[in-house]
Amino acid sequence: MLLQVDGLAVSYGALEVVHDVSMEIEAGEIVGLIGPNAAGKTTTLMAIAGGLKPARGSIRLDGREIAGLAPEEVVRAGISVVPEGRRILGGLTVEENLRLGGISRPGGAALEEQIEAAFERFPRIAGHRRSKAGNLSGGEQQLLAIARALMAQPRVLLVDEASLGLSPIAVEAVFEALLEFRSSERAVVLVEHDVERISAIADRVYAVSEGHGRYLGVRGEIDHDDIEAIYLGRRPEVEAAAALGGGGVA
Amino acid sequence: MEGAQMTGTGFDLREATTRLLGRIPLVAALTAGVAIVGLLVQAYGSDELKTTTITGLIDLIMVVGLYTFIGNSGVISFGHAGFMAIGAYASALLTIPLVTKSVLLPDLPSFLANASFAPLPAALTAAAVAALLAVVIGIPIVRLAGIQASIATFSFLAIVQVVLSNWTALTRGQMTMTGIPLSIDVVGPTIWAVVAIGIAYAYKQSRSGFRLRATREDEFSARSLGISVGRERFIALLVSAFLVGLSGYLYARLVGSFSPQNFYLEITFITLAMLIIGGRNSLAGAIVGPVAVTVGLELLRRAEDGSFFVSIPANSSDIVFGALTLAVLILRPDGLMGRRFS
Amino acid sequence: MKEIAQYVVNGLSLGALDALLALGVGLIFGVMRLVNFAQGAYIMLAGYVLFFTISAPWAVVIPLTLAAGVVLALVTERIAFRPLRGADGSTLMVASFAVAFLIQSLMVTIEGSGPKSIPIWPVMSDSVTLFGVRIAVLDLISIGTSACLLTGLWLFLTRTRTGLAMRAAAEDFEMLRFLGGRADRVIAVAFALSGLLAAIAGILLFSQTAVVEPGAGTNAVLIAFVATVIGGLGSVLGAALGGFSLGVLTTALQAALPPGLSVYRDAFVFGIVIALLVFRPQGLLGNRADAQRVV
Repeated sequence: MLLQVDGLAVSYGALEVVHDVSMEIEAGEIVGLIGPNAAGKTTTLMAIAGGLKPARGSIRLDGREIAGLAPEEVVRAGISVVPEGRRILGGLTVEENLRLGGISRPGGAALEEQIEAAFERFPRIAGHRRSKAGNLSGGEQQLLAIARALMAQPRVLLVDEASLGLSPIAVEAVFEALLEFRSSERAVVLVEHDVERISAIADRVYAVSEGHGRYLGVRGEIDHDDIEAIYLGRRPEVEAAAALGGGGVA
Repeated sequence: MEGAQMTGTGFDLREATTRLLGRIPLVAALTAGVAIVGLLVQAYGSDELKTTTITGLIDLIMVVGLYTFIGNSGVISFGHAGFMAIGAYASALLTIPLVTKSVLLPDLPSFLANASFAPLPAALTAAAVAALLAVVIGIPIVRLAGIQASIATFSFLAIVQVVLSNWTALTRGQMTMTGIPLSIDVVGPTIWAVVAIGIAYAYKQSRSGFRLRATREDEFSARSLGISVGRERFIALLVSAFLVGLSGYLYARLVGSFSPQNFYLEITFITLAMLIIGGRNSLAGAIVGPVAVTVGLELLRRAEDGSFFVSIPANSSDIVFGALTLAVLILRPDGLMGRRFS
Repeated sequence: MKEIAQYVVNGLSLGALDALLALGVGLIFGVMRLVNFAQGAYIMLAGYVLFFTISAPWAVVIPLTLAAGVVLALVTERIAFRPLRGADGSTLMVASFAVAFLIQSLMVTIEGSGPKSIPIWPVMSDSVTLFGVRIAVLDLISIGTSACLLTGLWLFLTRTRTGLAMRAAAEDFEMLRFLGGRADRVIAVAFALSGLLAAIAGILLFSQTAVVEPGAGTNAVLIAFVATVIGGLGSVLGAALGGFSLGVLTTALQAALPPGLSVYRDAFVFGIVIALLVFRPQGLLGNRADAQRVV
């Protein structure tokens, strides 16, 4: 198992926002994480990425415990995050943003080659390489954010709301990049609010609702009643499932 | 206990005192305590003890004034020493005996040259002048966000410093302003301290106070409720300047002579530190801080003199004070009184 | 005409010094959102090191002084500011105030509160005559040093990986960490550079005043604050520009204000700061994000 999240709980100060989220991600998968606003999806992702310290639970990458590590350590362990809102460094150029993505790796010729390769893979941003990244369109920024995260050569890519505010064409380009990333050694965890889009790309889907996580199933086998319950309000079946605390891959 | 959970020190002074005193409001109990100490010192204390106590009371009023703005608005002000200076200089101009005044300040306009106020009117006028200055500085400052506002208050402090140091006709510039009638009476300052706490409490409980505290926690929500942040901060600034100006009057009366340097960085740091140590979120903290620091510093100074059973090198009290403030900021940023608001 | 030239030189020289002071504050603000009042203490320590070592050859004095600034800055970072990372701006500012007070009190305990006069190298008080204008050697050194440092810093920030990381940190510190940038290293470098700049500014400053006492440096750091605000909080380049503008502005005010008012020059400068904060909070080059107004 590439990435295992077990009984994750995260607090903001005295307020516990995520109570029990568990996920299992195998190499070669794109795993979706859906749920209504403020359910705890971003919080979960941030905890995995090291931006938040879990109150309880474990996060294991290739069997190694990484919960509570600083973000820069998590990157070096092999997980990169494309956060909500992209967080492009607008004052720096496109090329500088990419170069920054490689900051955890040694510099020199290898890095330069990697940058050139990134521009080749993402020609849409190559044309702007010396412009300030803040001048790019939303779709271009999203691609840049992904290319930047890939510079660290991660095993797991965490992506938070990649399609927000993008045109359908841009979303297609983004998803194409994610599909390409996944391989026999790598995986993607994709947070999405749009259920349609997730169904198109994710192999398996988890859900978070009011801080409780649960497993929804494999693409094509997901119960739409479940999804409705998660987004519109709780029902006894959902509560029961939540109390059991998420499922896993058989 | 929330305090223990948040800081891990396992001891919440507020909780302990509340249990001790039952249902008496903490502030009332503290004020009564201050009043009793003041009266006892007046009756039985040596001159030296009286001076220390009056200094402590002056600091108390200053910090209570500081709390009125900082505690309610959440904006740290580095400029309040400027209001204290105004209070001190105003009371000097109003209370120095006429003959002395004409020698020290020959170029005063006649309404000041001939002014001779009794203590109570002098106190109120000095405080009012400080509040008036707050009106002027308040207008630009109250709409600024956190750190910009703090830098602006620093600028205000510097401006007051420069003006006081150079407007020689009014202030004798950098030369010592002297000749203010001295008073070692403790009862007066004690009464003023009780009054000041009362004013701070009244403001705190007022609608304006509540509205301002709402902005401290969550500015956007507060604004969506129609609260005008600028207006509420402005009011708080006026009240706090009044109280701090009052402390300036008492300071002038205690020391009899001073110069602009007395109202600059050192006093700014000391009063801020007292508030932080006591707890900037509550009026109780604004009382506990100066009291605890005054007592603590006094003990340290006695240790420096060797009249205590421990002996420490001279000037260590400042070092301990600075280190303690830093420790509080790191380990328990909400001070002795903690996160409880009262 | 000669007078104007004189004022121009004064302005440039003061601007050069103020730029260095502002950079020291601006670098740290950029990475940590800390307005570091302790910068004044770094300057003061440099002065004392100068005082104690001045009789040694300058090849010894200068590195020692610079090292002192760097070491003190790093020590304060490790002990006082690292535990406070993530605290809000005002808490940080008060903490830096406490650090400055603490260092000053330590100095009073160790060396006493009296001023010490520094028999600075004679060359520093010399002057040369260029095109009929008398220019102090110190002015030339100030301008030259500042120009070199600014260029060096610019190259560092734009051409090196650490410099890139620092610029990124100034914009979005957390994101830098999410990309793998080491927070501790970036902040340490910022402090080390700050300490270095403080020491250099100190050398220039004390060459002029020839006196040091525990409270020295506090005026300088206030100037640095003002300059950073003028240049724009959050922009390192802005800090340098702000410092420079401030030096020029101060000299210009000195020249332009009528004799009765010129003593209030600093009050005018601080008044301009307040006006800037109200009307153009982002200063000359700052980020809008750092410049939120309330209402």
